Amino acid sequence: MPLRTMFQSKSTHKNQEEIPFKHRRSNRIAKEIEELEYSFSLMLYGSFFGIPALPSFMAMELLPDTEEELNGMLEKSVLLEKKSKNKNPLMVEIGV
Amino acid sequence: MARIHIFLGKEGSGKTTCAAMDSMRFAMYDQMTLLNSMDRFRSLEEIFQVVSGKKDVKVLSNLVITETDLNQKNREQIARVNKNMRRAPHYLSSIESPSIYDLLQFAPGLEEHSTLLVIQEALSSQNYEEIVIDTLSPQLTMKALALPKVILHWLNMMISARTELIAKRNQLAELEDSVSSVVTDKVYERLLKMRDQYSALYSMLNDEELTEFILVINKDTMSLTEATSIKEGLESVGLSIGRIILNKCNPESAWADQVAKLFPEASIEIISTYGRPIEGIEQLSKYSQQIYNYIRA
Repeated sequence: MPLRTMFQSKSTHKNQEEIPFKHRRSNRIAKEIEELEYSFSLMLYGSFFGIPALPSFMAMELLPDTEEELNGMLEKSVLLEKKSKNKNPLMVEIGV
Repeated sequence: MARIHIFLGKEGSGKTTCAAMDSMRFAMYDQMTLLNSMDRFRSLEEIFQVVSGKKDVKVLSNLVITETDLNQKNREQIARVNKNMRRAPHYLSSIESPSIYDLLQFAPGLEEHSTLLVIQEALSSQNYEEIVIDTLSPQLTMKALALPKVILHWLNMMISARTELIAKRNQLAELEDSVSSVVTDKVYERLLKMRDQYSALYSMLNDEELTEFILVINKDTMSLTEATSIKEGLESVGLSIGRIILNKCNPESAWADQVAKLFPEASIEIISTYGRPIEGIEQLSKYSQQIYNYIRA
């Protein structure tokens, strides 16, 4: 099962008490995996947007095998964008 | 395995001519020698005065000269990336747009990587005993020589992050009683392969028995300043200069003593001023036997 589907399936529980211990543990590990995938992507593709990272021509060699990491990065960027818009109405105003 | 001699120095210092004389000397010692020049400004055919449309020219029975076009090497690298992208999922095919590849030729580090590939190919050559490499600008070469260390730093970090990630994925699969636990990870395997490749290259560059760095210095302050900065750059990546060639210098000059003090670790050779360019196989052969060895006081 793809990682993100597994993670989403756990979020159907209403609150923490309803979630069995085993599933709470799974949720925590899935969250950790998500963060690790994100850090790994930054090390891999950081050079494309100015963060010191592995040279871009080498990252391109790994690109076909890193579909999941790329998806994770895109999801995270959308989420961060939403968060920043909610926090700062000025950003919405100037169209960022 | 071939022994590599990498020529470094300020542009216009006479690297190509010195490399040509050095390769003549190796050939005269019956060593199967290759001279590979990346210099765009001075053609080897002009120095050896041979006319041939071929890429590799056999100027002596045991001396081959060749020129490497770094732009061509860049194009080869981009073509490899393009081929690799065919394995990518379909929706990533937008990256295959030709304009992306046009832009890739300007990607930071690509030219340095091409220079490094030339050195790597030379180190794995089985056909020659001595390979003399005439480099382009010292800045580019310094970055190329630093690349294995930089790449290894990132690869080690990424391998440890990936190891942690795989362990977590397996842990989750175990908790979920999933049969599809992560046994193999393509990215991890590829990273290990890359690390092996760059570790080998790094050790070969650091092996003084295999790789010699030769600095060409003229009798002027700018050349000496550049040489000092090359020395510092090499030392910062754990490499050192094995030999210095003082080009167009009087053997009795105080200049040689000054250079000897600044570079105590390197042996020094002196090529005198002959008042005209050294060209043609005959002259190269004659003058390569008249290189003085500087004897330290």
